[in-house]
Amino acid sequence: MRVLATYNIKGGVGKTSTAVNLAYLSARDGSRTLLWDLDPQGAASFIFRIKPRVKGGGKGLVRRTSSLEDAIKGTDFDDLDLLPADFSYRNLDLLLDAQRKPVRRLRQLLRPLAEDYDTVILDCPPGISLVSESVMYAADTLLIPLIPARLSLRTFDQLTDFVKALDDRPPSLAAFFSMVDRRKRLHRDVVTALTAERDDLLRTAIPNATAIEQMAEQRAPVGVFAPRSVAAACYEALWAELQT
Amino acid sequence: MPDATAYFVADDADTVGLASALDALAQRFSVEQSVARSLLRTWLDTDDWLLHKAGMVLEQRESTTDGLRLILRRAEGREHTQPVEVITWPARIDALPPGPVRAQIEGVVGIRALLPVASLRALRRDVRVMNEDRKTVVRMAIESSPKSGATQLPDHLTVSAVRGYQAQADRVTARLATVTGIFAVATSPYEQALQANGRVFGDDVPTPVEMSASMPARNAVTAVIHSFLSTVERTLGGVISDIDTEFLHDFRVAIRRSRSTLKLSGDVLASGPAEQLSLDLKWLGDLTSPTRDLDVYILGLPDMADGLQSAAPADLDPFRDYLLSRRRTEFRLLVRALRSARFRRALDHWRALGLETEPSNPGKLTSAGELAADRLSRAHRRVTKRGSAIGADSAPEELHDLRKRCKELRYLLEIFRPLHDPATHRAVLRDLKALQEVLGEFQDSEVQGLAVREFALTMLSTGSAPARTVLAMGELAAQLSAHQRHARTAFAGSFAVFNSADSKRRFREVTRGSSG
Repeated sequence: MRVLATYNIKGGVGKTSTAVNLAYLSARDGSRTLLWDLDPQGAASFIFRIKPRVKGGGKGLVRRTSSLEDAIKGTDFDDLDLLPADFSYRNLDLLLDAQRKPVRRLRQLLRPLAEDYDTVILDCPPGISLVSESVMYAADTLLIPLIPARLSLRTFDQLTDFVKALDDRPPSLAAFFSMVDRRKRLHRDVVTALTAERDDLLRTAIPNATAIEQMAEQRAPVGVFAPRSVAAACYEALWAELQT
Repeated sequence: MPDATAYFVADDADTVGLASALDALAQRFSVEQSVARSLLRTWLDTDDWLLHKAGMVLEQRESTTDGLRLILRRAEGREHTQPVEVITWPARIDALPPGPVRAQIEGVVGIRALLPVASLRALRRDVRVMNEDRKTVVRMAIESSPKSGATQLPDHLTVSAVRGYQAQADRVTARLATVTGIFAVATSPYEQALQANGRVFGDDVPTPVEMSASMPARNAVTAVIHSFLSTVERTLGGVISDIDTEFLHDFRVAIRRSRSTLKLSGDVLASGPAEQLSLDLKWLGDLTSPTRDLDVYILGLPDMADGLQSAAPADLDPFRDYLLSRRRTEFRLLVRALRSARFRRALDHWRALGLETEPSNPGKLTSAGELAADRLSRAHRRVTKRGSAIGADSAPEELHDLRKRCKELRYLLEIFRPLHDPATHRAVLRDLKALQEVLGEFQDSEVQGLAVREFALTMLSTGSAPARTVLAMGELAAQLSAHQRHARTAFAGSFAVFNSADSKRRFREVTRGSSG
């Protein structure tokens, strides 16, 4: 079972769009996929038309008084299931903190799912907290969408140092530019310069596209309602790049 | 991914059954149906139903819209789908392209080929039942078979809950149960199609021989030998078509068991036909040995190659090619013989055994129970006597001979199993099997080691073995010698268990049970 997680300290950088579209593509390619919407805002759950509610809430899952398997819902797509968000996830930090070895808890919770899923994608809330640190311990790869700006790169470098210092198997990092507006010269210049300058960035950039904004209206991944759009092609390219 | 499933079929007399079911649902649920599409559904399993035993259903589905796909449904309801190009069935696992379906089943089917076990042409509509967010919570499939199709099933409807929405599926199922013109059934379309195609799960295993201690011995032995004949007849097509290696294996086991039955208990039959069949069976055994032996080498080669210490597994490729080429030659000879008049005559002799008017040799053993008790005791005595005589310096032939005696005892136990208490029978068999495993490893290692040396010489003389291959084969021979030494060391312990007072007591209980 391969665990991917979308993460950035900032909100609104395209984490959920990335998680939803990559989960859809993973399942479409025949990989049994689970998307866990860890963000209490529940955007990924909303897009898949699944109510952001988990029986027993985050407390039940973390304390294992309710089963993770029982909370899983099938989406409308073959091979793609979702573990919905719950508003109680806003207290996940506190709940994890009350456990022994809190940063390893998420990984422990995922372990029994290895029989059922080939790919798990964690859609992480923004911020740096015990939840995000747990995600780093649980994930094999962190997917990091970056707004095309020098400051984003600075944050990414800080994250790289933080991950390297983890006292366990650190996840690999897959950073890519997101919400790129080709009409903005700054975006074009930053993407061109930094992609040439650095070898730790993926080649694919995700555009700031209307199709991506429409996901919340259509309540579906881009590939479903706009399969020929540039945005759909970019997510395909990103998914392909992650397989290499 | 579907969860629990319910099935409905339309009443033959009601022409609007399934259409009215949808109308009834639409009154309470938001329902959307696809356009009808034509499907050819072919279900696949191995000859010995390995997928069924593992709780899996494998289907090849060909449709006008989705092309050709393999769909695997696991016991807990999970489905895996894999688009494929045309596959000619029967096919072994390597014929399937890598993908999620192949990944799930390859460990289950192993060396067995997948065969079509049922098929069905259908016109299908997929129906989604949605909640207030237009989220699919229940999936349904409505299928009707064309009236001209080979397999005729009543129109049927399958209800599958989407994971996490079982309550909604239960409500849909409950609503459908109130619709006139359709009724719930316990069997899936697959099970219905199997039945329509004249197949049942487990039909690879011959019907158990009905035997009682008081029945005439002649009738019991005849029934046993005819049951082996049914295996030979059932597997013959698979042997000739070379569907997979296990058809020949099962074919040979049936022959060997018949031969042993005749040798150990054939004296209760009329002597002329029994002697003739013994000759036929010896011929069949000899005929099938070369191909089966080569199958064993070829199947075991990857494991042996993995155990190489200094040579690389690829060094054995020319050896593998040589074995495959020899097998092709031997297999052609085997098929020619199985299509010969001599083979047909042998089958005729087999079918006629026990039906002749010639009187049998009643002797003193007139009942199956008496026969079983007598033959089992004798066979057990032979094993304990010969096993006790084996020491550290005994020649390998003495262990080979003991292995044969153990096989005879095993066959007798299996033949007369219906007369025994199941628990005691299992315990006796367990002791014997442990001994047989050690003896099997000893002899197989020796025979295979000699064969590897012989193959190497032949390959050298024909110039088909590069030096690296000969070296690797030398390493294989050394591996086999080590296995043989290991088995020789383990023999004393296994035989001591078999020869223990406890084991003997269990055996006496079994033989007492035989005599009724």
